[in-house]
Formats: sequence, C-alpha cells, structure tokens
Amino acid sequence: MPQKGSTWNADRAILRIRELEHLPGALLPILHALQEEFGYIDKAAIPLIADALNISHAEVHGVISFYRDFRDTPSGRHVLKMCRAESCQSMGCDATIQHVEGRLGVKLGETTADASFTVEAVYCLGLCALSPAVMLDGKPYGRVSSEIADFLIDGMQRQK
Amino acid sequence: MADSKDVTLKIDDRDVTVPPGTLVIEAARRMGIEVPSFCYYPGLSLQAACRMCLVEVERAPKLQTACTLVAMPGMVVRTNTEQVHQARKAMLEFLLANHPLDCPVCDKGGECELQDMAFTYGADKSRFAEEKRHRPERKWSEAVYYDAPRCILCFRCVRVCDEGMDVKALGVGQRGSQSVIIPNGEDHLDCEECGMCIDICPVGALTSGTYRYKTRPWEMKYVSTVCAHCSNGCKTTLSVRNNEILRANNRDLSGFNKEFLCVKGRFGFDFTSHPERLKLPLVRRNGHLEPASWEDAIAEASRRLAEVHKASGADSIGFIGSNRTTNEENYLLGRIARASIGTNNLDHHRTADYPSLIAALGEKAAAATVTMTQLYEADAVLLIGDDPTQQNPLVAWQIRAAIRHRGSRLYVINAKSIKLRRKAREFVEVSQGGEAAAVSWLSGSDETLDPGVAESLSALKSALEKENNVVVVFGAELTGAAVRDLVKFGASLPGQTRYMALGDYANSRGASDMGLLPHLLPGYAPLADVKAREKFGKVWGAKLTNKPGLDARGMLAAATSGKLRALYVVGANPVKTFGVNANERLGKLDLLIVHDLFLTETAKLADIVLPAAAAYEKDGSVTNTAGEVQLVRKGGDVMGTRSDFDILRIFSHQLAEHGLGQAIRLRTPEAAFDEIRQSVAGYDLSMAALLLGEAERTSPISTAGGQAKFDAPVGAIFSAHDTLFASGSLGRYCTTILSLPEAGPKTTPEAGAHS
Repeated sequence: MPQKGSTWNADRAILRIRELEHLPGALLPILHALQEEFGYIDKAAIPLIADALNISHAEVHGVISFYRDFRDTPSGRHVLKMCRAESCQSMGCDATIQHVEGRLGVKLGETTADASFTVEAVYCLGLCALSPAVMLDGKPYGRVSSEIADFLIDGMQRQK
Repeated sequence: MADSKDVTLKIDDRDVTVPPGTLVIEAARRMGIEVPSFCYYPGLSLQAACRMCLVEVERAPKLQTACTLVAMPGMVVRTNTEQVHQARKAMLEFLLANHPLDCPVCDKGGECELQDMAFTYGADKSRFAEEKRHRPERKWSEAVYYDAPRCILCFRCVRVCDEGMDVKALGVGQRGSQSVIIPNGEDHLDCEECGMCIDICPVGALTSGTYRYKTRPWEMKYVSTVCAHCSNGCKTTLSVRNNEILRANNRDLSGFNKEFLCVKGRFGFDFTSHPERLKLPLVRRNGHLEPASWEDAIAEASRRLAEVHKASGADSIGFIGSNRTTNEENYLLGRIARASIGTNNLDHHRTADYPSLIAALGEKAAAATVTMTQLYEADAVLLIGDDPTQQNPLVAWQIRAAIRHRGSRLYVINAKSIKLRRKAREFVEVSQGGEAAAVSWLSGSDETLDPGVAESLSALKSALEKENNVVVVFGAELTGAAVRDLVKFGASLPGQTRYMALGDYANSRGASDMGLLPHLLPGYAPLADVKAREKFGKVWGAKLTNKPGLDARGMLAAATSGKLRALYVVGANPVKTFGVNANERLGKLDLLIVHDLFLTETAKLADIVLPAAAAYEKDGSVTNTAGEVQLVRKGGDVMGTRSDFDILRIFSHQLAEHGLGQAIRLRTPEAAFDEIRQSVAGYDLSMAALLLGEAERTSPISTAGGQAKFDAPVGAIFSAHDTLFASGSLGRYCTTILSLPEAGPKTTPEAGAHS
C-alpha cells in the first residue's frame, strides 16, 4: 500500500487529536493517527499535541524521535525498509543496499528527487531465517538479492 | 529515636535502623557508606538509569540498584564486595564509552562527579576500540550550553526542570546509544532560565554561558553569601578570582534553599562589573557632576548638611534608605537620621507590610510566622496575591516541593491566573486589587462581593476549615487593615495558622526591622514609646524626638513644596520608584546626597554622589522576608567604592565635628551587629549559628499593643512586581539576564539600584 498524501493541514490534525486525546496514554495513538493521515508528523503538530495532553514540547518531540517508525518529514510514495542487522549483514544485505542506492540515486534514509521512493535502514524485521530481508510499503520480503530488489522496485514503478 | 515501625537492616555487617520507606542508598549514606550514583538525586523521582549504585543483597539473584531498593527488615546488603567493584568498573566503562576525555578543557574538570568516580572506582583502561561518537556543542540560550557527548543520560536535568521547576523545558530525544537531551524550543530553550540543569548536571554536559571556559575550579575562592536580589534570601556561593565574581551557584547546598537558585541568583551577579559602575565620588560643580576625592566629597556633604540643619532645622532634612543594604547599614542610617540630625523623616520603599503583620500577631509573632523550611513542611498553604514564581521564586519552589513530596494542598486567591494556579486545589480569581476585599469577606465582614467570587471564596473557606495548621503567604496586595482581617480570619481556622509576608528585595524585611520607618524605631518599637526612645537615645548618645516624621512620599512632596531642604538617599531610586518628575529636580532641595552603584535617575539629580560597594562586596547581615537573618560576605571588590557602612560611619564623624550628634565608634559590621543584637528586639540571635552559615529567625514582638495602627497611608506599601528577569534599578545592569530572550523588552525598574 503506497503512503497516503502528505499535505499538512492543521485543522485535520486538530480533529484527529480531539478524537483521541481522552484516551489514557493518548500520545502514541495520536502520533499513529497523524502519521496515517499525513504520512509523517509535521513539526507544527508538536505544540498542538503538547497543549492537548498538557505535556511539554520536548516530551512530544522525544517520543517522536524515540520511535524510528515515526517520521518528521514526508516520505516518498513508497517506503523500502532494508534490514541491516547481524543476520542480514552476514547474508550480504550490504551488496543489495549498495545496488538499490545506486539505482535510485539516494543513500539510506533519503527520498528520491521525484518523491517516489524512500529507502531506510532497519535493524531486524524478525525475518532472520529469510535474510537478507526488506519491507516494502509494510509488506515483508525475504532472500532479497539485488535482482529481487530490482524486481520489487520495477513493480512499484509500473504501478504508478 | 526509634519508632516501632522503623526498619532495621544490615549494611556491610553493621546494623542500621531507618524509617519505613527509606531507600537503601539513603540508609547507607546515613551510615557514612558511600554508594556511588549519578541519576539518583534526593527529592527527584527515581530513575535507576546509571546503574552505578548496584549493591549485593543477600538472597537476591543478582545485583540490585540501591537507589530504588526500599529498606526491608532483616535485609543484608553489601556494598564492598568484589562483585560490586566489578560492576562499578563495568558501568563506568560503559558511561565512558562515548564520553570525550576532554577534562583538561571541560568546565567541570576538578568538580566533576564522573571524574571523581572514574578516579575512585574506574578501570585504568577501556576495552572499547570503537571511535567515540561526537556531536557538536549546542547553545540553547545565553545561559545554557549543551555538549551532548559528555552527557551520561542521568536525566537529572529533565527531572529537575519538570518536577522541581514545573517548567518542563527539557526532554529526551532519540533512543538507546543515540539518546540526547533536547530543549523544548527545538534548538533553544524557552524557559525560566534558572540554570538548575547546569548545577545539577554531574558532568560537563550542561555548562553556564557566563562561566564557560573562563577559569578552573581550583583557581577560585568560594564565598558563601546571600543573593542580592529578591527577598527570599537564598544562599549562593560566589566563585571569585582576583576580586572578580565569575560564577554564582549552590556549591555546598547548605542554605535553606538547598539546590535552588533562580536566574537572578545564578546569573545576576555581573552588575558588579558593569562598565557604568561608579568608581569615584561625584560632586556637582557649576551644574555638572564632576569627580572628586573621597575626602572632599564627604567633607562637603557633611558641611552642607550641617548648614541646612543650622539654617532650616532638623525636620528640613529627610532620609530615604534602601531595601538592599545590610541591617548594619540600615541601623546606622537610622541612627544618623534620628540621633545625629534629630529627625524622624526616615523611610524606604516598603514592599510588604511587616509592621502590620507583627502588630496584628502581637505576642504570638515569633510562633506565628514561618521560615522557608517551615513553608516546605506546611500541610496546607493559602497564597493571597503576589506571583511567587516570578517575584519570590524560592517560595514557589518550596510550595511546589511540599506538594510533590508531602502531598500538601495549595489554595490561591489572586487577581491574575498565576502559574502556581496549576498546582492549586482551589483558585479564586478576584478582580484587580480585590485581594483585600476578599480577605475582609473571609474574616466575616459584610463586604459585598461579586456573587461568583463569593461563591468560590466560600468553597475555599470550607476547604480551609477542614485543614489544620494552614500557612498563609501574602504579597503587598494586603496592607494595614487587610492584614488585621487576615489574622482574624486565620484565628478562626483549626490548628495554628501561621504567616509569611512577601516583600520585594534582599533586605526589605531588614529595612523594616531596623526601623527605616518614620513611626517605628528598630525592632518595631513605636516612636511614641518613651522607654524605647530613651533606650535608643542612650545607646546612640542623643535625646530622640517623638515629633512625627514624613514617609517617603511625604518627603518628596515636601521637597517639591520647599519645606524639605536636604535629602539623603542611600541605595534607592525614589525618582523612579515613586514616579517623581525628574525634570523638577526634586523641587527646591538645597542638597541631595545619594549613595549608589550607578548613576540612577535620582543620582543624576544629586549634588553629591558617593560610589557604594555592592551587596557582594561587603560583610554584614540581611534578613529575608520570612525574618531569617544570614550573614553576607565580601566576595568581589571594586576599586574606588566603599561600603555604605563605612560611608555612614565616616559621615557621622564629620557630622560630629560640626556639632551634630556623636561619632559612630562601631568600626566593623560585626561590632554594629553586636549592638543590634543587644538593642533591637528580636535580634538577640546566636552568633555561632550565623557564623556557621546558618539562618537564624528573628522574633520581633510588637510592643505597640493597642496603639498599633493599621491605616498605612494608601500607596505607602507597594510591590514593584519584578519578574524573574527584573530586579529594580539593579536589574538594569545585569547584562546576562537582560540578554535572555525571556527578559523581553526592557522592564521598568522601580527600586534603588543599590547594593
């Protein structure tokens, strides 16, 4: 599933915050909701959340930065997460990563100029038995060699 | 004394008995056994992040953190075993994994907890071969810098900012080995700039903008004194090198403020080295103030004052004292006015109605007022008026700590939605200036109030009636009759109600205690009291007049109308404080003498300006708003200045030569304090305790009895409402504080810049 549109809109954000602010421990549900809504959590959301929950800006920012899955900048339409943990490294993920980086012209953690792909490093997807593993738009793939990575990227590029 | 509930446990083969709920780390410290720790800080929530305090506990499968372990009966703890030593060594190895070894340039080097621990418990080498992670240093504000690699993530700063200060400006970003401390403003701090985070940091991660890279801890001498700003009297340690004050902090935590200091206490010392500081006496010649020698200036001042005295009489001369000068100096000024000159035209900028409170409490005054420590021990606090967070930061800190540690309840009556409202059980918002009416209503008068206010006041009243031993803290909003009403209301509450009046400046209370008032002699002895007059007359070698004197506004008005011919101002800025039109040059005065640090609005009009030493540059004693007396010590020194004490003493000798009064033979502030202890009611304090740096509470008892008047003239008592970033005229010369963005546009200074 490609990422949703990522135009920040304060009114929509406030609505989503209102829906959830009554929950005990509402911060994470709110962050998830905003990320789902916009594909990332805009900086402008921090004061809104802090005010709603009566916590400090630093605390909201701290939680966003604690979890790698929360983004503070818009992602590309497709997010490719490539595992770099021990098992995948020993099965050659670095070669695949180099290949993907070369093909898309970005480094890990960056988004292509046409905003079609974001490539990120992750540390263990729990798929060590199928190393090297990646996750493309939320769906895991195992035994990803350079060829298979090409195949996956081709598939997404055709889709658009 | 052992309570039956107390817990006995064994630490390092010795028995110790502690109250239930005590942490093992505290129990060990009580026995003199050091259990090292970084993240544990008494009074803050538990973190157990640093793992330095691991100890061996019998029958526990692995090492336990002493900072979170509650002492249990029969527990056997060992802090000195091979396993514990191994653990400490390993923990330090981890803490040092990314810690740069830049001790030789780090501000903290020499007083760093990590350095001390590495020396004591650490290994001589590290097994980490990886490169250390480096991150650039960040400037979070003019006052606070953050150096991430040095940080050991104990989170003391985050906790003190959140729990202690209720500011919540710091948080933790990222996670694991990437964790960093983050400020609330993304790349800068937006906070009260108290600098608590700097002092509490066990390493050199948070450093002070004013102190960094200036010196090393062992190159300075440390002078324990009292903060020169607000009336709370926090103890502060000045770090002095070559007579220059480089830092103020809470090095030994020995004051009643413990670790607390606000932005003024920590960064507001640089007025002492401000370039506009007066360093030579100035005498007006041909309309211009020109430098003069001390001899000439004082000789001229005394000669001209004697001339005015001869020509127009004693009551044509007025004295306005300071609420920052020491008790000794205030006492001397009162003596010169009343004994040498023979007038009761004597006043200062009054910022709290101490006389009314003391009169209203009568003989109970000593037992019915609270010290700063007792405020923390209060179960219930009623706060009327004032904004302690801004005006009396230690009072706010004590109230917050009482709520946090002891579950105390706070009730607030205020015209503004002050920050402490967040912590209050009940908040009654009255109209601007409506505090006195609310108190009058509470005391049972038939005051007509807005129905909404009356309703919330009656809710507050019934809540207070369920409390016991309430402490009432009030600001300058309550004066005169309102104070009497308040005491009446307090008497109707269960238990013993106790009080604290909040003034503005470092020695506001002392100025009042020392009798810088037209109608009261030192120790609140009424002028009308013949015995009191005789007593002081004997000590001062003069017959004191009971002719009523003018208050500050009265003197300024008399100056305009020409009745007052000479005004002697010590460390005050009446032109600004009382809003006198500066163009009128204070009316038709023949002589205006001013002691001050700077050329204030008042000093600019003076005929003779004497450059005074600041509070950090002299010895003496001050009394905080709660009546706690502490000694101030000479830290820095500025060439050319003299303490007000010396100026007044020399001045009295000169006056005596002109036939006015007796020369003051008290050579030192200590000698003067000795006389104060003997002659001023309530000041018979333990010199030993004071010399040891403790605070001793005065216990003045008003002898006014039925004669007490509660009709302080309107406008005689008012607060300057200084914020955290303002401090009267003095605040205008605190460069660092003014550079902070929170200080905002220049505030209007009110009181004397003085000392």
